[in-house]
Amino acid sequence: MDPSNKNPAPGLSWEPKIVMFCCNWCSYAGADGAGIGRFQQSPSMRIIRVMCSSRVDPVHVFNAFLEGADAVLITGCHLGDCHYINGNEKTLVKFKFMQMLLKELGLEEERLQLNWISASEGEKFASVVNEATEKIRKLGPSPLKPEGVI
Amino acid sequence: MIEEKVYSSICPGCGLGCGLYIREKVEPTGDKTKPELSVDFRKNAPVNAGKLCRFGMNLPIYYGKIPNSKVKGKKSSLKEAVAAAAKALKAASKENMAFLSVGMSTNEEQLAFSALAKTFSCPVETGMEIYAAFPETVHKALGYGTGLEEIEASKQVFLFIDPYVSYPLVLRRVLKAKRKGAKVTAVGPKSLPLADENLSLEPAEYGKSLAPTQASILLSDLHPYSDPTQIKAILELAETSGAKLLFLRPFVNSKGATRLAKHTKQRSFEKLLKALEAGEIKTLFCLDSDLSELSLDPKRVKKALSNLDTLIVQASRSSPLTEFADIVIGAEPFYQKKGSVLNAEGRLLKTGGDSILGFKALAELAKALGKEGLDFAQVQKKAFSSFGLSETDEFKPEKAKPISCGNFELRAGFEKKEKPKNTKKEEQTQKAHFSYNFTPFMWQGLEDDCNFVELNIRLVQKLGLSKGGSLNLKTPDGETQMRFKVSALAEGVVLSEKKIKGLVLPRDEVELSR
Amino acid sequence: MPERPEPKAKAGVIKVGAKLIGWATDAKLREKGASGGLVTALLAAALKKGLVDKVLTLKKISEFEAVPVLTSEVEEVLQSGGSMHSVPVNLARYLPEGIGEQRIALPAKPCDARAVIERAKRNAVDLEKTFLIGLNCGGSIHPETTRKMLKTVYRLDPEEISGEEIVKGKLIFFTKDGKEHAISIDELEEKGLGRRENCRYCSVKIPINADLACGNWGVTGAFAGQGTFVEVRTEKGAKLLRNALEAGFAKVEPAEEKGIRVREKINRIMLKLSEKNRQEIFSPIEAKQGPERLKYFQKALENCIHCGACKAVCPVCTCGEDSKCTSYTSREDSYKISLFHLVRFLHLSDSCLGCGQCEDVCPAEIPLTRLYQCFATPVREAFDYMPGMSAQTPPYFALKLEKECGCQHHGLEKAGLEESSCAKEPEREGKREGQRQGQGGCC
Ligand SMILES: Cc1cc2nc3c(=O)[nH]c(=O)nc-3n(C[C@H](O)[C@H](O)[C@H](O)COP(=O)(O)OP(=O)(O)OC[C@H]3O[C@@H](n4cnc5c(N)ncnc54)[C@H](O)[C@@H]3O)c2cc1C
Ligand code: SF4
Ligand code: SF4
Ligand code: SF4
Ligand code: SF4
Repeated sequence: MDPSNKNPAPGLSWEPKIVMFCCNWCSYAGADGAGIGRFQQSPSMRIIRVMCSSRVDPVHVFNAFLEGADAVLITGCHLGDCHYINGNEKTLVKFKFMQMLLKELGLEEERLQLNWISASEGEKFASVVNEATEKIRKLGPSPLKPEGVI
Repeated sequence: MIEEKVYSSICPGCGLGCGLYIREKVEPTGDKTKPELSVDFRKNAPVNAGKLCRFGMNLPIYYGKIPNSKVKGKKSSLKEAVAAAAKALKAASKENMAFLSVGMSTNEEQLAFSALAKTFSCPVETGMEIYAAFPETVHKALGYGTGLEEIEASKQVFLFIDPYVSYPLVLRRVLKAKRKGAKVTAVGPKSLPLADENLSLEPAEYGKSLAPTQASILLSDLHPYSDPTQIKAILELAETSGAKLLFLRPFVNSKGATRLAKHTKQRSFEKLLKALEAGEIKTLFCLDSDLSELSLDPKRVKKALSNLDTLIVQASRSSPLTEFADIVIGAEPFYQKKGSVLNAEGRLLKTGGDSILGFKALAELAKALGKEGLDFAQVQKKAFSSFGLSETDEFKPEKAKPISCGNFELRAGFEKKEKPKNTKKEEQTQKAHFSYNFTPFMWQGLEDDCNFVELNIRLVQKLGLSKGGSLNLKTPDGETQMRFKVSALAEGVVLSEKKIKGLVLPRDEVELSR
Repeated sequence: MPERPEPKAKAGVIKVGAKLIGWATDAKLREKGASGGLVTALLAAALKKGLVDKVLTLKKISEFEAVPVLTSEVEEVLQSGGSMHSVPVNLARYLPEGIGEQRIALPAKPCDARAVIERAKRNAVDLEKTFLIGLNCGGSIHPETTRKMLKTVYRLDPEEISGEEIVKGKLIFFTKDGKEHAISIDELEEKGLGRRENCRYCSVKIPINADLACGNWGVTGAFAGQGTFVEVRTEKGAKLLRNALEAGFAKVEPAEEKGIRVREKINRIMLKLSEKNRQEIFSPIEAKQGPERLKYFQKALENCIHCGACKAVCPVCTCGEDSKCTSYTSREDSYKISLFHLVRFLHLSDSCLGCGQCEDVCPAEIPLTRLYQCFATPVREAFDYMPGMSAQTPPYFALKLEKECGCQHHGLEKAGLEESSCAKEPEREGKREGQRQGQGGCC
């Protein structure tokens, strides 16, 4: 539970809450780029910086959902551009497995996304964020959200 | 080469006595007193079909605590410890002695212990004061056994326990009954996922709110902290409806121990403690019963025990009590014992081992005090015949019997404690009823993954608690910080699976704050 | 038992691919054995002649109970013959942990053999030193079910049983009074009894992944009921057979063409039945989509009491105590679904064998194997990978650094994640530059 909204004022409505894992070498810088470039961006993101997208373990993703995230976005460098040679390829394998699992579980596919965003793609970063937020807004709150969390 | 021995044993975690194998690996070169243990599933066991709860799965840790024989704090041989105990007992005055065994040893050891106590004309205490609250005519009904199979055959199941926590191997039987169409009614503060109906009722309301029939079964438990008012209400419910009744038990041989003790003027742990504090007991002999683990206030126990002249402990596992006892007779671990226990269903089970070290120590002590010739086979026969059985048979639980107790009055109830005084500002605190959800871990002094109390979401929000934070519990005996878990509980209830200082009685009141 | 003809075959017929009929030379072993006592003879001979240091086998306690024991006593091995259908154990976990010095032989149903192979991939077993004597398997029964069947369907006292057998789809019990009581397994299963659910849809009936594949299917003619059909699958298997022949423990004869055809035919029929059962069991779950599906899993798991037995017993899990599924799970969390289960569903999605051990030991009666298989089936189909059937790396770990053409995508291709990936090559350098600049700007 996030202490900031544990006692929602009556009438306060749900806003999508999206956990975004950003790679230190690319998308995290991309997020900066997006800020510097003043692209319009939704405030629904909770960005977590990781040294490589492959640092994101399925446990992190599951935990985000179980704690109340409505979606999880993993972002990393384009294939072939990994700072650590092939970390992002490992990310891709893990992602594929998580995606299959969440689909089997009955969770909407859009709730877990993988995007390659380089450091210079501030605009892409903003559009990925905005699109995801819109999609999730349409889907509604995640069915895995615990009781008492908005 | 590593030698492995497989024991077809039972779990000592609660009164069900689930079947399992203990695999014991001893490396010839290594420390022979510390074998490497693992549990294995005995699927042919009729009590549990090989399944175990978290406690059973943790048995290697439980058995890892091997006791050393000790005399006056110094490591000794078993023989020396027995001799020292004999000497101490001979010197003791029989007016202020007490013998305690709650039911964590075999029937055979229990009887040998009784024989020893008898040489001082002392009873064996089991901590079950609750028996004293009931007239003798009712005791029999409290001890009836009912096979778990009868749960599966019932049309309606009434749960006065939380089988997810308290006697977990009952859960599957209730689920099986449910799959066959039975209706499940849970009576208690927590909503159980398997229940069709969850009712939070006072014992006085059982009669009018619950309507069991002959095809129903009532599942409750009987332990040293049971509330006699509730037990009485359940007995009455069973009697008027003709429903079957099963009282589960906290210790593997609770039933055997209480039946063999025959003594009905039992003292509660609270009364034993008071007697210790008042210096009325000078010599205490505990058989596989650690008062500080069993009591809800270990610190108080330690202090009270310092009033003793002599504390003698025979134990199959080291525990706080073996640390500060004057004499420790270190017996074999439970899985190595040869002998029997009577489980809560009334099944006479073999413990599975081949050692009678513990029995022999007791027999020797009895001999030193004038009771000669305690022979294992004869003692076993005597135990069996007092249960009306001729041999162990894990496939034959007792058949349910109709309850008929007639009208009776309780002789004593629980004393109510004073209420906590409000100190913090009203809006920051919330009062709540406190209950324990007793688990095998709590009774056996084994650490469990439960550093939390349970509250419902509304109470959490009222108190303004945030995840990962902690909660302050205040009782007249002091304050404690605990983590918390959000559960589907009735309003104004706090539930705990961990002992909390000063919280003893069911439905104690606590003051909560952030 | 009739006198046997001297076998025409010599040791020369024993080679990889050979299909033979074998039997124990010792009449007592044949009597005790399930078909020809060959398996027991092979195990005993391997131990006696020092081909292995130990044998992992079952020690019988009663008709419905046996414990796995690792023994170096030939005598103990000779005691162990006969098929115990009410002992649904998986032997893989009883092999000593790690790569040791010991050579060990064991009988192995397909699920045992698959588990051993999966454990070998996780460095918990040295396959080179492990001799798998495969047993065909039509399924096993939980002893609790067996007792229930005896009481409610056969109307027999379980204590009166002196033996059991499965012949032509019938489960036969022998009583101490010498009578035979047979009921078809189909009939039992219609009543919700019979084999464990996972065995009903098990898709490996002949352990072609083992060193030898033994069974009674295809034992024809004079040998019917008194010989063991054996297919030599590996050189190690051939060694086992030759060793037993040299030791005088067993004899073999080439199998008849007819027998070989019969075995294949029964296998096909059994696999078809398995497929049909799989459809029946899984299609109602498949039909659930979206939130309804999630509810199904939540509901199925709601009774979990966190005992950890499902993980402790799982033969493909080699993590031990410090595992991801348990380390980050706390009973304090009141999540909609436990992290423990989500992690296990993921970790087993490419390795669950459907061996049923988890479900057997679950105190909350959760149909766990069914749940794990829900997640494993799509992975198996997507990657065309069947766990435990070969030394192939599980797809989750398939990614290796490969640099044949200066591109690192071969692993992905292998794992079925990418079709062709060299096209991106020219852009790369430029991107790297951009990345470095971005980085500079940020610090
Ligand atoms: C559960 C089960 C189902 C089977 N179903 C079929 C079938 O449908 N079709 C077919 O052709 N053959 C089947 N078999 C194999 C067959 O019954 C014989 O085991 C095989 O023909 C070898 O016979 P034998 O006389 O040489 O073996 P034996 O000399 O009798 O030796 C049998 C060996 O199997 C081991 N064993 C016994 N029970 C088990 C068990 N539950 N799990 C693991 N190991 C065990 C024993 O320890 C012993 O080592 C099955 C076997 C089992 C155990
Ligand atoms: S239910 Fe009781 S006897 Fe069974 S495993 Fe748990 S603690 Fe042991
Ligand atoms: S899972 Fe397959 S191999 Fe294993 S016991 Fe069942 S049918 Fe036999
Ligand atoms: S998850 Fe269950 S069925 Fe699958 S391999 Fe493990 S124990 Fe066997
Ligand atoms: S065996 Fe069953 S109850 Fe135990 S942890 Fe696994 S799913 Fe939960």
